[in-house]
Amino acid sequence: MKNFAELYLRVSESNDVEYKRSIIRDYITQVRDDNKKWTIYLLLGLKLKVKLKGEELKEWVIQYTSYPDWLIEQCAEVTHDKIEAYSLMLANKEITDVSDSIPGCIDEILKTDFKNKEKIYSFLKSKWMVYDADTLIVFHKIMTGTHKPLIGLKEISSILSSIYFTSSDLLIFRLSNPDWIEHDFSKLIQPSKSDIENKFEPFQFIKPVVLDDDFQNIQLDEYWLEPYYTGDRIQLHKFDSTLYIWSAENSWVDLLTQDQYKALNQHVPDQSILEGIYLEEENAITWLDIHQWNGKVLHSIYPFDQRKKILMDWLEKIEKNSFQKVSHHIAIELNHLPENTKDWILKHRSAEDIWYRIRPKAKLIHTLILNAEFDPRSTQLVYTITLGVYKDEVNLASIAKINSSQLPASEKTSLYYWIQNNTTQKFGPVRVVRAQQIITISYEKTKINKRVKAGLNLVNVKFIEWHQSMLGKLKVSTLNEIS
Amino acid sequence: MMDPLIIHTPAGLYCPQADIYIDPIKTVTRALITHAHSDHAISGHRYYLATPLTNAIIKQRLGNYLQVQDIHWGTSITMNGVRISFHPAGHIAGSSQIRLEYKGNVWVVTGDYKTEKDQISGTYELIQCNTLITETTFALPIYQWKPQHIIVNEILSWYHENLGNDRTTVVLAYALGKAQRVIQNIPIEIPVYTHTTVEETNDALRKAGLKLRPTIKISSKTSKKEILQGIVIIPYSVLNTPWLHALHRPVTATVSGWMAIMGNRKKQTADRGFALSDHVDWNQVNKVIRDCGAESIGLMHGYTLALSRWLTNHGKHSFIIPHHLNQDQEVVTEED
Repeated sequence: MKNFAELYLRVSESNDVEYKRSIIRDYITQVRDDNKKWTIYLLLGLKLKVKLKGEELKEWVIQYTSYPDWLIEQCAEVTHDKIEAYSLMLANKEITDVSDSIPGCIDEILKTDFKNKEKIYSFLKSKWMVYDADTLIVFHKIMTGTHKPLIGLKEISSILSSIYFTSSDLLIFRLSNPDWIEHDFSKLIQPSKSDIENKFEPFQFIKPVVLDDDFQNIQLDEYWLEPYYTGDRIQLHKFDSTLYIWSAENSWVDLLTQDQYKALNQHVPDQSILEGIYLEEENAITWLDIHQWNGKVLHSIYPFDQRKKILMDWLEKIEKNSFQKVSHHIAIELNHLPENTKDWILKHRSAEDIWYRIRPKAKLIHTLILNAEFDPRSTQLVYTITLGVYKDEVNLASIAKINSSQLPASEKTSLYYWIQNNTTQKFGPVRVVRAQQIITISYEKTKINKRVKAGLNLVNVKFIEWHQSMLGKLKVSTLNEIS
Repeated sequence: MMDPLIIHTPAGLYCPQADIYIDPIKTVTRALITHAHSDHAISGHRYYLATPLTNAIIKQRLGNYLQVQDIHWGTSITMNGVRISFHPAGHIAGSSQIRLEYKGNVWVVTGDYKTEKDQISGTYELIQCNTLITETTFALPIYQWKPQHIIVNEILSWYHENLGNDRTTVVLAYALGKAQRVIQNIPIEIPVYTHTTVEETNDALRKAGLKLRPTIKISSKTSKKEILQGIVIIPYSVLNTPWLHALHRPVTATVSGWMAIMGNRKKQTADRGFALSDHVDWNQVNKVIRDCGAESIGLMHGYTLALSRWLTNHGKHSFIIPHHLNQDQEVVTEED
């Protein structure tokens, strides 16, 4: 447990991807199979079936330490993490001979009767007496289900693949199914596909080709038309009551919670395939296609009216069960021209495998450089520039970030020296510069984001030109103009 | 009731009877200095009274022209009837607590201190007194230090791991205090390489009589392969500079009490953090307060409010001394 806690905290604290990979790799190669399994499970942020409430834990901490509530609260304010504050107060400071492993500890947690308060308290006390602070933090986080994912599915699969030579895609496929923890580790890393895995391959994901033609010049009766969503494209294959998940970017499991998985499994009929898009900003899934499957994959797409009906039935089922609120309904009537034409994709009736996306007309704005962040570990000249526009007559609001890799080599260097010479303040790798360098950028559309000061983000930002000493000659854009 | 022997003034702690200041933050005529960190020893005083090691650093950092007078631990001088003596504080090399006695009334100013032995700072001495003025930098129950030998072992095992991964081990430590503590506790078979700033402080301390293990100053002639085999000690200011990146695949760790908090370890730029502090933790400060016999406790620098409330709840009289760093409780100070 101590070794796992050390790994967990080191991965969580480091910013060095190479370092994280190497310590996870070293750990996995050194421990037993059941330990590997739980390590992967917890690093992916997956939770145990049982959970201790934070408030209950606090009550026991007060009982055990006799510290007043106000003192515990003050400690939590300092750590910004209640679990950490409790753990630091309770931890054993000396070396103790604790040889329990993560599977052993999880086994103990799962065997504890969570309805019997006395038993939980005595279980907790047995750990408080022997665990050091780091181990207790991780132990409490696992107990309360507050541990966060520290690594993506793609990354852990790539690490496992480098150790066991199992295909990374196959590992992703297996790890996407939450039932994998029930089986032996050897089954997870088995390099050859099982019979059932052999039967399944995702069919080709729709990848729209950008169409530069003007929307008005397109003969719409030759095309299918549907809204264009940006998000992770996924496919769900259900066979013999088991749901298999594929993702175009291999990142699906990071988005799917166990509850979502269960709901999907409940609502997707057997012998079927769904293709959908996970809309990140709305936390919803929009279904594109449903394919009935009778022994082999049907590589066809339903006509719109039929698809719409099937889809609406599905949505009704899903919404009834409060699984997901799908805010965008798919498919519009043919020959019904939408007013806003920039976010639609087209499919030619005679070439069904190709979808086209109409490129929105880019808008140009003039921005000022607010700050630049350098990557301290990189030997390349790589930096991220934050750009701003006027929020009112005096104040600037940051509106977009661009990476210096977008710039031509000569401009990259000139801008680098400009930043060096015009730095007014430094915060670690971030340099605040004089707000007088204008950069023209293009963007496709704006996206509302209440978490940023400007209240919106620009989508698909591209660097167009930087104008040396043009302040006063070019007018910097305002937030009103953009929104 | 007797007048207080020490009062707080805008220039710092002041003893009116002896007309002397303790660690003044403005220039004064006579200053008693607990230790040589820059928030305790500033330049410009007319006379300095401190231990020989502290004076050596004061001269090295603030100017050789300063008029300093040495006082050894346990010896005393008398000024206008006030008996003044210096006693080991265990914070850094030469650090002291200051004891003032006038007509049987004893006040002790701890300065920064710790009770754990560290092989370099002298052994903390518990002094019986009527009033204790203590620092409270880490006076919360979340701060409970692991013993030094455990942290040193953690650093060494990290070093061996780095060596196996062909990476240079770099420890970030304040040039005065933490650097020497880490250096002294590294086994002699592991070479220790230092940045100029650290080495200058080491030299000044060695000249003043401190027995510090040998270190090697990194110069343009030192080979990267050679450095890879040892541990490099640098001050924080060298992080993210070409100097550091010139080493062979450096991997960095901060050594400080603030590293006890996960959030601080994440926020910092170094790859790792080891919680090794030169200040008293929650248990140590409470033990000192209990054992020194003081009826009244003055609290300064850190979590003064929390400790004051805690002491009041336990029937102890306490008072808070405003300090120029009190606003920055969460700021990682250079000293720790």
